[in-house]
Amino acid sequence: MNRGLLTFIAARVVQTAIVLLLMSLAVYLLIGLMPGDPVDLMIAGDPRLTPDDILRLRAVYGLDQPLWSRYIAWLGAALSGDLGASRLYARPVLDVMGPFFLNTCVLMSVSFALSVIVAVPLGVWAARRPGSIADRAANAFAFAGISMPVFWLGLVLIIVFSVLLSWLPASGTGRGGGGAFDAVRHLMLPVITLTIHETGVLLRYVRSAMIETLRQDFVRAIRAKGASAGWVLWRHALPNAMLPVITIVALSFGGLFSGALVTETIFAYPGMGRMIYDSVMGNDFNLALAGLLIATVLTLAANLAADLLYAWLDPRIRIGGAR
Amino acid sequence: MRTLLYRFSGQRAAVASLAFLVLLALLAAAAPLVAWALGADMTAVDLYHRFAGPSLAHPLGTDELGRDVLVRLLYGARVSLAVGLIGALAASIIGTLVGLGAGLAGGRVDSIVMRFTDGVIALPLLPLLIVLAAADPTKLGLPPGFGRGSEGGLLRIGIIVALVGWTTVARLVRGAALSLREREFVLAAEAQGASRLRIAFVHLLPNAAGPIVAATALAVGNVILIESVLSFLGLGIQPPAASWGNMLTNAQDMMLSAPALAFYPGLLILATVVACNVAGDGIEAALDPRAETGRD
Repeated sequence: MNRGLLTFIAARVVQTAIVLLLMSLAVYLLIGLMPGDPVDLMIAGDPRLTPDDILRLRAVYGLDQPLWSRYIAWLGAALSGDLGASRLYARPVLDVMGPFFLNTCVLMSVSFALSVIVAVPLGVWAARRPGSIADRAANAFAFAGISMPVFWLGLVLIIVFSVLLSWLPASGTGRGGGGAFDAVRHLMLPVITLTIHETGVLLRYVRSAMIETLRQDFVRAIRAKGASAGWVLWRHALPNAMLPVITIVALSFGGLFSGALVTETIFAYPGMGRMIYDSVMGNDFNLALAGLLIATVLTLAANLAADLLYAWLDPRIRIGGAR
Repeated sequence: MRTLLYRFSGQRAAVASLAFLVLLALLAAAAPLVAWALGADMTAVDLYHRFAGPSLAHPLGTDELGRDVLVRLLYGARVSLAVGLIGALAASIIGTLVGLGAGLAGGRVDSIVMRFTDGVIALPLLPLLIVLAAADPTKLGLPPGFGRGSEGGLLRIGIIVALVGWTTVARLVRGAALSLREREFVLAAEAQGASRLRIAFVHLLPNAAGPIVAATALAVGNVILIESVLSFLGLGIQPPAASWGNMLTNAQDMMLSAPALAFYPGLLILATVVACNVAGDGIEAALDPRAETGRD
């Protein structure tokens, strides 16, 4: 650990915190654009409320305050761990969110790991001979993965594996006494859906980064020294090609979350994405706000991790200092 | 320009994709004609002929309300192509302005703007889009009827998508502006006392046009995907108007009884988006002689 690296880390962490603060303001304002407010919902639910009651309720909820002071109050409460109560579930937001968060983490991490395991070797293999049949097949697969609407892929998989073949369940998590095996069976279709999509995204980048790297002079030099094709490919070209790929992977994390939202909706899988969708549809302001923020935090954390990994792998970055 | 066309036409896949898109656009434009020829209306309900198989009167059968699937698909094509073009154009205009501004200003402004752009790229966009799509336009001071009706819906989705879709173009244009700024002809213009605005729009923009066009073509596919997801989730184009996305929403409920209904719209989305991406890649490759050409 040298000082350059420490400064770099500190600068990145501070930067991330600032971005997070700005994002919380943006998300807060965005949620404010949703139709109606909590008191409107109460008015709709209880015809006996008088105009006086409504004014008093607005004061109780702080809705008579200007937007910025409401944001400050919310931020203060949020920083002390109070994100308010969920309207749909009538429980504190944090309690509601826990299980959803866990489910999404399982779905996303398994799919992500699988797509890396598939995309990296496939991309290297395709880049070995650009234009060959193997390369074209890999490219076609990547194109299909990117261009296929995730929800349609999910529907087709349900039709094939649940309706026609009845091999796998179409929805839910199977956490109802079915045991571990049942839970895995329920996870299979959502994971396959998300993995196919994510593999397409990664494959394209791995392939083009590898092609780019294999053209460089140092690769030719190693080849000229008589290193075997496999040694050049895996030992020399791949580590160099991985640097740009890491950045792309971090940037695609938000996309992975979006994909997870759609997947969860199709398969009725109780994760964060589905929770955000339901809370927006059900006017559950606190839950939607917290869900969006957690999604943002996750994405920013992934970016931060990628930046640090990049700096650790590539000394030029940390010596150059924070760009 | 000639060499450009020649290089583009050398790529069979890209030419085929472009041909497919043109054909689809023509068919979409002819949707009312097809409807008239078949004697079917996009919204005409016929409960006696629900879930009909393919026949002469209904080449692709009918849906759960007895509406002609082919006619609805063609009207859906109008929605997808229109939203794709509106959204991609709006996004590339925003992106071009941001990129030009950042590239010309350079220094601190540039680094702040590009950090912001990176931040937008990294965001989980779909959840934010859902909130945006559910937003109440009157709270922004827009008229209450805004975004209702079929044309309003198209415009609304186009704007929403453009708000998040400008980032790729911005990065490309900024990169081009940075490298062009140091070139002799720009320096010469500067020496002659050309204003910054003139340099940006007269000297930089035409020279950065290639990458902008390619990025816009790629963006069309992306926008079509986003529209279909939002419509599928019930936040985009509202029934009874047909869009490929909202046709799939209904099809999900009929999955057990009529799987074919879930098949066609998705296949069309897939084909259209693949075609946009391949054509966009083709334009990119035609513009950049160094790009891989299949053979190394």
